[in-house]
Amino acid sequence: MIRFFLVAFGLPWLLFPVMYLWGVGAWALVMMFTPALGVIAQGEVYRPELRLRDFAAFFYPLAWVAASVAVTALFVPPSGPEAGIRYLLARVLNMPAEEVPRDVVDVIITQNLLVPLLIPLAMLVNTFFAFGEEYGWRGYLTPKLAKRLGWVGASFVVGALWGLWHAPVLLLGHNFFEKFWWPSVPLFMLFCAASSPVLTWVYLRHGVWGAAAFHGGINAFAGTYFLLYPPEPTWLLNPAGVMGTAGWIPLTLYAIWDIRRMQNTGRINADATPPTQHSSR
Amino acid sequence: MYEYWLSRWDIIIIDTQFFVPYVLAPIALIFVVIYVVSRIYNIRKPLTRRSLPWLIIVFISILLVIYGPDLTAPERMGFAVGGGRLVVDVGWWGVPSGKVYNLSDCSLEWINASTTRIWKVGRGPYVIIGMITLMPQGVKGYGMVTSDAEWILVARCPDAIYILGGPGLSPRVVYD
Repeated sequence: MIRFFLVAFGLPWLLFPVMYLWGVGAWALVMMFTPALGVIAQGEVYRPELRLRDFAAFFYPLAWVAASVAVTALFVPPSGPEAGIRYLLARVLNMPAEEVPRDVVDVIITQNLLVPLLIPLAMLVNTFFAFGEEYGWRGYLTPKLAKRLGWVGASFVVGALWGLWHAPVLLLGHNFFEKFWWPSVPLFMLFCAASSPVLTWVYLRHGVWGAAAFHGGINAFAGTYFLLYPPEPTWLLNPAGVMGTAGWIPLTLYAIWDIRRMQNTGRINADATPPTQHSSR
Repeated sequence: MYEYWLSRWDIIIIDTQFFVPYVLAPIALIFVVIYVVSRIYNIRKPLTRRSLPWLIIVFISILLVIYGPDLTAPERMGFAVGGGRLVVDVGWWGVPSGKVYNLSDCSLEWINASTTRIWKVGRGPYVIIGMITLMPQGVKGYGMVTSDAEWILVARCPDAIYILGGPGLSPRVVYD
């Protein structure tokens, strides 16, 4: 596993100075393929089956967004789309939120309302790039660790590692909007650890492409949270922050229950990886 | 008095700011994606020994397209305005060099950069040098404008129209 870790964790840090100097941009997409490159470097390439029906998992994260919004609503009343969009635009444009022109905010809100029209494209693009990650995290590392820790234990460990792997982009402001804000790393490790059993559950049911679709769905739909809540403070009211992590809890509990049930009924066991996913090599 | 000068190295560094995120990153992404997918799905390897020289040629061609013109840049270029004088010393992409005018001989017009769009025949993107057209004002002339300029100076001098913009350039800086 050492080569997997060296490549999956080492390449993003090699890219870090480049992303720091010239912006994250497309380098983040390159980074998303480093876990897959790690598997290749490890010499344990496998060929996941590509089935159209597994792409349905792209829509499952809507349940997480709904849960996150519901959890947040227990503490903070929703403020509507303007405040969140104004906050994000102010960050991007580097200007005070109150100075962002109203017309621009209205255009962005309209664009967001039109987003459902782009779902097929979003599904393909997000799934494809998430595949680079899921091939390594769910398709390779989770089954490996599950042999020692069981599927649930492996899910939490892989989740924490997966969150830590994001450190180069988190320190450049990804998800939490502050550069070199170190709490972003443990916060995102918590987020990933909380979501990881759900991704394992999707992987066990839908394979690597299904997990990739689910991961793509998280990336695609997470921003809708900002239509109701501006991310202030960013550690709390943020789909990647405490409220987003709390949103995973009901889904994670269900995933753990169902994974255990599958294990008890012999449909999976901790020593085996789903044969349909790893059958071709 | 306002001055803005660039060296050839500044231009190369500015082009690298464009090259690394907007050209190199997508190229790297395409290569990584092709490599990963071809390895996983056992597609005939696209990166063979035979294709490597071609890939190197493509990469060098891209470098030449981006950096080649920089090699023809003058060692120092820029403009100065204020103190009763306008100096335009670029000597690249058709913008003259060594031109010195009395400001009283030129009519100056200030355009807020947020109210105009720049069309160019020349180089860019962060520092535009060459034949510049400002729309919708419809002003056309040779000049040099940086992307962070807040104000653009249109100087109608006896033998040419100059369009100039740089970081911090404003009417206040020039006239104070």
